[in-house]
Amino acid sequence: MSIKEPFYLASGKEIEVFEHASINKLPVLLKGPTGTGKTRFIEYMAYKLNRHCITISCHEETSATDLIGRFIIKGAETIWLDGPLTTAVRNGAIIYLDEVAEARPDVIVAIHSLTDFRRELYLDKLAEKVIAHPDFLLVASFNPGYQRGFKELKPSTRQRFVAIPFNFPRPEAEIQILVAESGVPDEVAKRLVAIGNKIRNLNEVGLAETVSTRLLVDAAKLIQSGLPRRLAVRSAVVEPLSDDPQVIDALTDLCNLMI
Amino acid sequence: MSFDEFLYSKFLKYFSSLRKNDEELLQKQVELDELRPKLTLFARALTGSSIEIVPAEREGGCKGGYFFVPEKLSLFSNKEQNTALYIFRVLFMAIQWQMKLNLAAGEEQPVAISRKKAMDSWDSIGPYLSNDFPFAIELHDGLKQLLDEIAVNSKSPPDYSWLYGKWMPDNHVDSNQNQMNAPADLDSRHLLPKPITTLKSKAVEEVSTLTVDKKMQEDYVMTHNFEKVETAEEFNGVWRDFDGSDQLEDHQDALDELNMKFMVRSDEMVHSVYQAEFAENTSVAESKAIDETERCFEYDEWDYKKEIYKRSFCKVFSGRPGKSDPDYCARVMSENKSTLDTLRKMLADVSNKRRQVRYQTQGNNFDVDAVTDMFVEIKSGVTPTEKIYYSDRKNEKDIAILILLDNSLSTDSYAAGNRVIDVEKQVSLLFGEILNEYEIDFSIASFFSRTRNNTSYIALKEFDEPWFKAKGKVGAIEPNGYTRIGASLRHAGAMLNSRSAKNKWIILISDGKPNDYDRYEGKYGIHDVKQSLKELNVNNINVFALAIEAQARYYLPQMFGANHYQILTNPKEMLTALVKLFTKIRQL
Repeated sequence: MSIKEPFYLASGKEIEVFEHASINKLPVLLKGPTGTGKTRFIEYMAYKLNRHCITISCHEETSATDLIGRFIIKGAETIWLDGPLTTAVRNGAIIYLDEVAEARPDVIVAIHSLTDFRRELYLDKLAEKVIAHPDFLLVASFNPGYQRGFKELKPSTRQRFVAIPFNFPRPEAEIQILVAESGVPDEVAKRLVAIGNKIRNLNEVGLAETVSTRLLVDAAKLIQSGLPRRLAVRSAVVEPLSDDPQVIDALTDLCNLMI
Repeated sequence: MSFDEFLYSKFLKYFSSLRKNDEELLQKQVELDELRPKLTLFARALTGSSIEIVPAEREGGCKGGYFFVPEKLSLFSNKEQNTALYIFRVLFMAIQWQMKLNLAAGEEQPVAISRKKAMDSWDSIGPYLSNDFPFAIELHDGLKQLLDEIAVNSKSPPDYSWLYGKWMPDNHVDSNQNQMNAPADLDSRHLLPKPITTLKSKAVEEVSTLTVDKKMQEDYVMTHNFEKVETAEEFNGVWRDFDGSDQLEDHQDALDELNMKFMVRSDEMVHSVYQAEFAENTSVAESKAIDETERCFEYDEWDYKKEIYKRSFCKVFSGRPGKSDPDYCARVMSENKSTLDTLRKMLADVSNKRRQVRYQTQGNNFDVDAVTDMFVEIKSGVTPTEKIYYSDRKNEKDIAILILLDNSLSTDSYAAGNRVIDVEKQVSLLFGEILNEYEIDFSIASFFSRTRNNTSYIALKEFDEPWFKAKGKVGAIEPNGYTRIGASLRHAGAMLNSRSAKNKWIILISDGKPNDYDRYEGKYGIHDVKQSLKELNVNNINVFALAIEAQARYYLPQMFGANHYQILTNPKEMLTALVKLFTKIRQL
């Protein structure tokens, strides 16, 4: 659990939904594009509920063994080492599986028994059934794409979760976030948010990812620490989005008219 | 062409070329073609809508989803200033477009009034700009000052129309417009004669579509304007016969002087094409359904405005190519032998990475986790497991791939010095060779359309057809017709549905621009393609689009979404991209 309360500005009723899911011990799925505050929300909720939070960033090599645990050999002894999921199940922590769709299919199979009424984890290597601590909460996130194909979460898996959608905050809220996170004056935050919203208009025009609140916060931090505004925006907002010189050129011109 | 016409045109061309090659002009001139990608992105970011940037007859304006800007600018003394004027024009029009400051639909005003209205609109647009784009005011003032300086030097009043453009009537195509009969030739599925000469026209801002008056055409009275040596007649209400003969190049200079405001649709096949880049209201109505005795497949089409399907709206005729060209295939194979070998090697490396199967009673090596388990069991007094090995097995995946080639007339164009259709054919042959070697279930088909009544789906290789029999047919396809992507994708999906593979993919090779004779274009076309992709996804069929034409960047992302398309700058990259995609599909 964080010692200091993380800053989080609610954009809807997500806090209430999460609290009720926690009371009812229901797994939660956070869905939304990159940089919309999913991870920050979990940190905030862990603080608010006074629970320890273990975050696992899933990737294509993340396997069930990585989460559940494995035997290691120490001298002539074999010692069992709990994985982060088992630790969370035993101790009653929040386990946050970030980008769960990226993980190997066996991860999804391993968490199935934790997502329904059983709330138990079977450790096949120990032949042990671990009943989840009452405070244990499973939270996963994923970024839904427009077309399926390469990485997706099966509908049968999605049905096991209570889902909370995340999107970019309203301009007024986003300005508040920028000011709180970086300390920039309101006027600068307002300009950065306006730039963000203009570039977000382009999400159907070839940018794989668009401007997240995180990128805007980064730009605000660079400005606050003294980097010239246009250079800060170019470095923190424009360049991370594309490598296409024409796109960079167009976005730079756009930003330069606005800040 | 008579001798005096010939002589005059030679003189005219000589003097025009002198003017065009002015060094000083080239130093400061900026052309729309080089700025268009940037301006398009700029306009779309500002408006949040799929705006198209098109050349204007002069200063331009905006209407519908089109921003008209000058084709070239050399007003100011350097490129930076002229580029800045383009940027300001787009910014100005974006706000004008959002505030809906324009003439009403159908309203006609003298150009001086339209320009004045645009200039006066600065009073509303300026405050908006100063709020959201503070540096745009600086830009505006700088450009205005430059125009004032030009006026002082030329001792004439300043021409601010370059800065503010003019208002245009906001024309909308009436979606309930009556249906029309498509020209007879378009509904036929036989190969039409190809145009011999194609020239690009000057910019066109407005087109009115006229219905051919057959009676007046028969009663045609010959008229001529004798003050010109070369003549091409503007439409003046007198109808004359169409003949479709190819004399375009002889009359290009005269054509450039024409006001191209009127358009008719003719069923006469032409041999010359004077190509104007304009798409706003050129398609007048959708085709009437025709009764077809031949067996065809009927598919729905999505009407995004009404959010309903038009049931059984498109007819798809599935056929086989009439001829084959085995020599073409042999030539491509021998010319690309080394490329093919490199790709084989690349794929072999991937294929050799075998899948590790753990907990086996026998295998290549010890499985460390299994051995650890065995120790645990021995220590616990339990009979230890014998499954302590891992074995490498060949990673065979259950895949069906359908390569769908767009062979509409747009593939007759060139990208990076290569004819697009040739690239498509070569790439399909080479990729087909590889898929065949890896025993993948695949099919190759091409498509083109001529109205909703006639989408041709040509199966160059059926799924169950041996490759050695099919590959000769790939060389025989030629550019033809239009691009009704939605109906073609739906039919390709139906073909894939019959396959038992779990992992089904359509790889579409196209410029991605939905386009057909009967209003299948713009937003309508894009939304229909998006809808067809959703239908395919429901059936667990994935689609990936590849293009080599630069203009694909305006269409593909809107339809296919991130990670599901690739635009290549060079045709040679296409084959590598396909093999990489195949590798990715295999690893899923």
